[in-house]
Amino acid sequence: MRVIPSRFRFAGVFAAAALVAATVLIAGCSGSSYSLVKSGTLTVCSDTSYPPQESLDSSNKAVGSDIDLGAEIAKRMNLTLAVKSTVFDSIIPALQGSSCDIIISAQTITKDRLAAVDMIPYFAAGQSFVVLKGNPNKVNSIDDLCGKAVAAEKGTIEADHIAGTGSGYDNTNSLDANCKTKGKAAITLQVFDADTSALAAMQAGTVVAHFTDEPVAGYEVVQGGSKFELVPAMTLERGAEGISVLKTNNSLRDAVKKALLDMIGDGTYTKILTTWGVQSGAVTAADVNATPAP
Amino acid sequence: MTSSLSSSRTRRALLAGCLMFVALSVSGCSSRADIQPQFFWDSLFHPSPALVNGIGLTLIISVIAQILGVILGVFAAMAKMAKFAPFRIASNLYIWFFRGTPLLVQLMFFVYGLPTVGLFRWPTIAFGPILIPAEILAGTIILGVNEGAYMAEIVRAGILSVDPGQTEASKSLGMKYGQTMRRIVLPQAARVIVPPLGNEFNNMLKTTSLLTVVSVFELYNTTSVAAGHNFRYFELFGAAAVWYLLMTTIWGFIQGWIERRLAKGTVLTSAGPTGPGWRGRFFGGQAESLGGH
Repeated sequence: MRVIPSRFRFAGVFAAAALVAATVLIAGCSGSSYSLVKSGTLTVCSDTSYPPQESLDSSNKAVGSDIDLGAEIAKRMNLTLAVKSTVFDSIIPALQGSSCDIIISAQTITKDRLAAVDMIPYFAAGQSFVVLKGNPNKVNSIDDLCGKAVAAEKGTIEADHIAGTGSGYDNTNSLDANCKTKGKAAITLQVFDADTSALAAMQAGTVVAHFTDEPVAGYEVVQGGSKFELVPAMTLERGAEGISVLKTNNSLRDAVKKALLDMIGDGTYTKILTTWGVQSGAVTAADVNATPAP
Repeated sequence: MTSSLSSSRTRRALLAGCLMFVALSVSGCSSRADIQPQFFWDSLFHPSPALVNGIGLTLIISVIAQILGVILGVFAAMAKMAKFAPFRIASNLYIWFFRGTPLLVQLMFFVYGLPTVGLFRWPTIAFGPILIPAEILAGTIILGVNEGAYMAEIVRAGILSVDPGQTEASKSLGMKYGQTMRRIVLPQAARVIVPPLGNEFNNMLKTTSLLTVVSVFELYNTTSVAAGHNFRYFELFGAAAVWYLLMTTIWGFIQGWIERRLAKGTVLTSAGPTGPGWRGRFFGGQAESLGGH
């Protein structure tokens, strides 16, 4: 390697440093008020194993009510939408690691999550049980789950509700605790990385029920033909779901909130939900503006 | 086995690696990186009951699956070398299928595929007071059957390595095939089988993590569920890595001990008359030459 004279070397290093500093300054003081992972694009992390809210069609393109909401929000912010399929259990670290700008993935607002990110309420859903057609294991009340196995997706509020984990449930209000206080055997929880795998476990008979969000349960019953049914009397605890944004990204959060409020105001929001049959989960502008409470 | 790398170059590489690791750790201690070491130390020194169960399950499943694999491997190897054609064909089909498909595909196919179409349902069985849930039974059996296909080739190599004169001598002494195998051939084949078998068990300890897809709460799954609640992926998975390293390293020492015991009465072993030294046992065969042992 040729030896570069020290004075040229110093000039080279100084020029490189100045260039880096300039780039950082320009990027930081850019005209748009919020930072995006990819400029001009709203990158959304979503667990696409959750129809009808988010799933992949036969050409692996993301579709669903949440996806359409995301596309509309992006349009109103003059950005294009890019969806990143992410495993639900590690979706918040994906946001924290700058894989995406926001998360729209049917995330129930919980204290655990609010400690890590800001959440904008955008939907509401209860928790429902899907069983095999004919309800062969006779699951008609939460007491019938005692001593049996139930499947849920890893990291969801349903998994927490059964086991008493997470910030919203403990050993006083979990379904397992309910069995224990009545002197019955415990509920075995099986968890899976994808919600569709939890459904597969129910089909294979290793669990008696699939515990998931109400719109997803309804969709599974419809899509499964005559294989599954809902246990309607057992839909529990309607809770708000939120769009997650990093706490440091206040301007992005406000822009998304404004777009969402505009959509509710002019009826686009209700139209999108009705297209997917999930209008029962609609929230009002007041809900969106309220401070999220888990 | 002499290393082709010059000793001093490898030493410099190792030193550079250590310095980089130290630099990363130091920079990680700065307030910019949001590391909370308490979670790491807690996982190692005050593991939760769930984590202890996970580690125990990893060990138990590994041992049982490996034993099942060795038994199946021995029978498959002998069948592959049999004169009776159906044995040969069956063994070849078994080895071909289970070596030719990924373990994940096998798990999904046998644990979820078969029951869903009503062909076979995995039972939950009870051994006295111990209840073995269907998914643990299924996962362990499939791990063992998968392992058997790989062990078959290893055992076959071991059997072929025994001087055919030994088999001839036993036959001329009037020993039956079973006796020959059990008392003459397999004990001598064991010396050739043990190093790759040790390698397979090392793999098995880590491959149990794939059982997460059938919701077995072994070490990886337990860590994953815990991290999903507090988002401390760096600390918790770092601790899980340490636990796996602990298990595989202890196995490395045990393997070295077994190899040395089997080498008693012979002059040459893989790395010297007393077997691999501490460097070889810790870092593997290549490291043996670094210390000029």
